[in-house]
Amino acid sequence: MRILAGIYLAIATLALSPTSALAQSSCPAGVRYPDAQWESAIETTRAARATEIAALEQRVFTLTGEDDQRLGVRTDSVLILHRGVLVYERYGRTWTAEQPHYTWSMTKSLTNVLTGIAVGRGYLNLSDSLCRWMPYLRMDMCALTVQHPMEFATGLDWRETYENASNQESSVLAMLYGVGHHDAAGFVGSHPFRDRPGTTYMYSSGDTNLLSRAVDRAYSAAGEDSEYPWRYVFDPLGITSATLERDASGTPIGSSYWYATPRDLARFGYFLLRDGCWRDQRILPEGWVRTSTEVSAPQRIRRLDADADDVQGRQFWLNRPVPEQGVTTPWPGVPEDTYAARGHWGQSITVIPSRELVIVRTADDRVRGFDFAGFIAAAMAVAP
Amino acid sequence: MKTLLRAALASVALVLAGCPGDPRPYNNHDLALLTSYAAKEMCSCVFVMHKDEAFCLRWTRANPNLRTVRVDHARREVETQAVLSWGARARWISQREGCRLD
Repeated sequence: MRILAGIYLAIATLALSPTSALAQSSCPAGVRYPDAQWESAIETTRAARATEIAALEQRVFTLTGEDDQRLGVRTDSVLILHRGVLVYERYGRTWTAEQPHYTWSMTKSLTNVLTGIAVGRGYLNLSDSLCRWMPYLRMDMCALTVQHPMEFATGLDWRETYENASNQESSVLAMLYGVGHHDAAGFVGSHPFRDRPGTTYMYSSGDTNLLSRAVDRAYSAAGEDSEYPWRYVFDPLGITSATLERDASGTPIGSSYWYATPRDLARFGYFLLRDGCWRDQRILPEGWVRTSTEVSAPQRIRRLDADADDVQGRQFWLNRPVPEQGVTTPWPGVPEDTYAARGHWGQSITVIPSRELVIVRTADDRVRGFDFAGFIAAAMAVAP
Repeated sequence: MKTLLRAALASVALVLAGCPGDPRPYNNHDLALLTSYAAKEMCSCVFVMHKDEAFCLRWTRANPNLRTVRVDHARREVETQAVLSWGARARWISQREGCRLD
């Protein structure tokens, strides 16, 4: 009888383990979280940091030329959050606090989070072959695991160029607006291999959409409907403004199409700062944020088409050196533990754990050259 | 005048045929990309981000800026057209799902 009870107990523990492991893991204690609105110390900061605020605004809110010329730095919002309190908030170029803003590739970091939750709930493993979730992929694609697109290391022959290069060469434009737009992951999967999986890093929106499809299928196989981003991320974090657009196959465009207000983007950043917890609820597995913000192994092996400041973890940008590749910390004057979700035309949600800071910027920078490190350093100076 | 007309016709022919030097790994026409981009992003700009039409037209401007855009607020759709028969449509689905290109 006792043996039987033991077996039942073991079965019950096994069945419950993914969720109970999440529930029991520790979340940071004594931490402030927002209710419907962020707590604000904007007025006191304005008085105490007038010089620093003026310097920040000179840097990011000074427009160049006529709007139609699309020159210089074009900031739509900047928010600075210190220890869960809003210390600075300003909007520009007709944008308001109520309007959801495009995020472009900041969506990739959301896809990382949706992946982490699925892993934590036992819906999928990073070591799963992509063919487990996409059985229709061609045979040689089965060598790819979920981890490979997480680390931009599928080795697929992808061309990550946008509107400033040849439209015809851009894999991204073809995926979003051309032959691939009905089925992004299917389109990505039609590309041949350039390198063996896991041996090279190359930033690819295609990789993220492969990941998004695998994760979406895993939620579906576990009996979840398409509301899972709301059930597990947006609703628990109090994010009410989110839109996540999908392709005709129903898969979220995990590379590009998340929209939210800057205040809600700050919630996402704050959730990462608190190690994937919201109040006492552990949403991401313990250690997930840390692993996601370490330099990935393929980066250390070989980097293709990477700018000097293009250091990535798993769908996050990092301020870490990659000594094997002769790359130093890309953001001078910024703490090394800083990481960011970043997107085309100047979007960023920057997290600085050592300073307990979250800095959000939305923008429409159409020319290259925005000094991201200078901006973060100037924003840090505003915080207490 | 004739020379001008010839040059104009030649440019249109070039746009329709695509540039001969393009490597073209994908079977996309520039005008298909242009109209699809404008339809999808205009739709999201107006119906997801709640920006006004004039702002969104500026935001989605691309080179060459050959497209015309029609926003149907009642049906929450955006249709775009460029040079003769090229065109695209995007539709708003819901607050959560935003817009999708047809």
